[in-house]
Amino acid sequence: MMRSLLKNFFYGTQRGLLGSAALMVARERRSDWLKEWSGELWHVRYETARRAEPWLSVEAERVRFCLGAFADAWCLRGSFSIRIKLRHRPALDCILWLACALCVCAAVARSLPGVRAEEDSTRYRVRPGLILIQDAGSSSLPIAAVSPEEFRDWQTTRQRFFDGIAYYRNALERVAVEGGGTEMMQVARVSPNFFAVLGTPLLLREKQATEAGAAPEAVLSYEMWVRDFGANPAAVGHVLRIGDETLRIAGVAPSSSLPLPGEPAMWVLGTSAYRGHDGDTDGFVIAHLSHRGQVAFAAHGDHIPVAVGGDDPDQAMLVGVALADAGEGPGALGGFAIFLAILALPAVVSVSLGESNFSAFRPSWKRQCVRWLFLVAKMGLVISIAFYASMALAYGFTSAYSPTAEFAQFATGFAFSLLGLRWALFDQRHRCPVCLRHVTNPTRVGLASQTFLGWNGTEMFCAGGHTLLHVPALPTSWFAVPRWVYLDSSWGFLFTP
Amino acid sequence: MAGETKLSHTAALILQAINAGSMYGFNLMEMTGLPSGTVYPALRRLERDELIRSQWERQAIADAEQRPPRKYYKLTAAGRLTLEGARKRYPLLERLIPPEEVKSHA
Repeated sequence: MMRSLLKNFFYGTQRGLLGSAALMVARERRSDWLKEWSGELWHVRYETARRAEPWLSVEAERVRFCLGAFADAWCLRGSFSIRIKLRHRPALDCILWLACALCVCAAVARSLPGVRAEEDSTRYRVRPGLILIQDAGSSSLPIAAVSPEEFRDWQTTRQRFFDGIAYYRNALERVAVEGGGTEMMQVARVSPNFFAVLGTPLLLREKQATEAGAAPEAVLSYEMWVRDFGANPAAVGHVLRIGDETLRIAGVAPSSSLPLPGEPAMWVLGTSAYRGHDGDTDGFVIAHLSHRGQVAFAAHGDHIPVAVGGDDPDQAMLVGVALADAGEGPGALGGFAIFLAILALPAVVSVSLGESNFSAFRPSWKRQCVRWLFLVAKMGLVISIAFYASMALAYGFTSAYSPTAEFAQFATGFAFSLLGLRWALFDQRHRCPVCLRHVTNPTRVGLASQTFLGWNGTEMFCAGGHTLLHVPALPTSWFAVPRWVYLDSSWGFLFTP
Repeated sequence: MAGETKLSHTAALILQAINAGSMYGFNLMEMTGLPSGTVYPALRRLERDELIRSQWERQAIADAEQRPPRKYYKLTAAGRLTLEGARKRYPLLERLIPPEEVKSHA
């Protein structure tokens, strides 16, 4: 299991490396270039898989192969695209490096199956107004309590509160898996209109219409599709067997988007849902509330009693509860972690960028704007890098949603954002406000005095000759934060290139 | 003019490996023992200098063998002339990659 997850992680990394290297190639050549490298990666994976070497060294060789794509992409860029002649601009260099790091992190993160599954879970949501009808006596875990006969009765009866109902029953069944063996899996038998009532579009769906007399349809869960079919889109249309029954794979459901009891590996659509399995015949009913039903639901708070036959609603044996939504997704969680990191920033670093009251000279408003824009851009990039890096770390070892991964994303997102923002401020404080170069050549000046009135600290200068930066060794009430001294033209002779 | 092109040893090695027939990138890596970061950029430069030309394999062939299509590289007339010159410059070239070995891998 662990090895399978690690292999997925490595494969995602390899695809991510190729994807990020492709960004360096000119747009008109990119698809051809990527097609060649993807094909070559297939050959590398095929050849190396046949070697009797430890799998970790094989994966390392594949990653080394993909790293070569950067040299190739750089070569293409240098040869065939227009070279942009840039003067040495320290701020631009810094932004470009951060942008490259962001591209790599984003490409790696987005190519991981776990991250894609999380994104899908927010994209493919069940429609609002859905309820799950279950046993009224169940407190925490939902208990199936609707028999197929009752469901059929409901189907033929005009419903006042629901404008769509579907049947849903879980069973443990023996499924034939790749390689010829069989495995016990949780299989959900559902009525044919199940996905229509849920309103959730499938991640993959068979293109051609079902022919009359064709095998019953099965929809794979995202987790089973990744685990047993290697996330291969061609799996749709294949057949699989459950016991003596042959089923056709009609689609793949998005990950973790169906907040239903049990974690079925697949959903089998058809009338088999109404037949019992090992004596267990009861199931759940998924219903969509009509306008009248929504009013009744709101009147009861968070549930709606469901009467069976002529039962008194006050003594109903069934209850409809709202289907829990899949949450806000990784974006909202990452955003919250970043928000907390911004709040915590003043606790770990001084947010002052230094005073400049030593001289009357001030940079022009244009330069000041550039300086602030540079800081904002740097912080934005650092935060984005932290977001994607935390996603890659959290979901790199899982192919689907898990609370552990969610916690890991939150914790690493917070830590990376905090450290990144701290670095951005620290870096900004050591850049000349005029040209945004790093100040260099730190020199210890002054002596420690008992009265703290003597100048004692470190002095650095901008290689462009614009500024000096004084950093106090011991912050005092009269000299607490670093100070910038702007140099006028009389200092120019010292810095002549 | 092309025949007078001075090749580096690496480029000559790759040209020699391509000489016996159609070759693709990973095949060249295995033949020459060079890493991907050297082979593919060298192929781009050789193609830019019109010493080799590339051609995508037909999709039907790739489909029949259940693999992605390959991009094959072939020597041009100028490439063959340049390789002749490179063999004089690097006499051990043919020993490093004999034509028979190349054919057996193609």
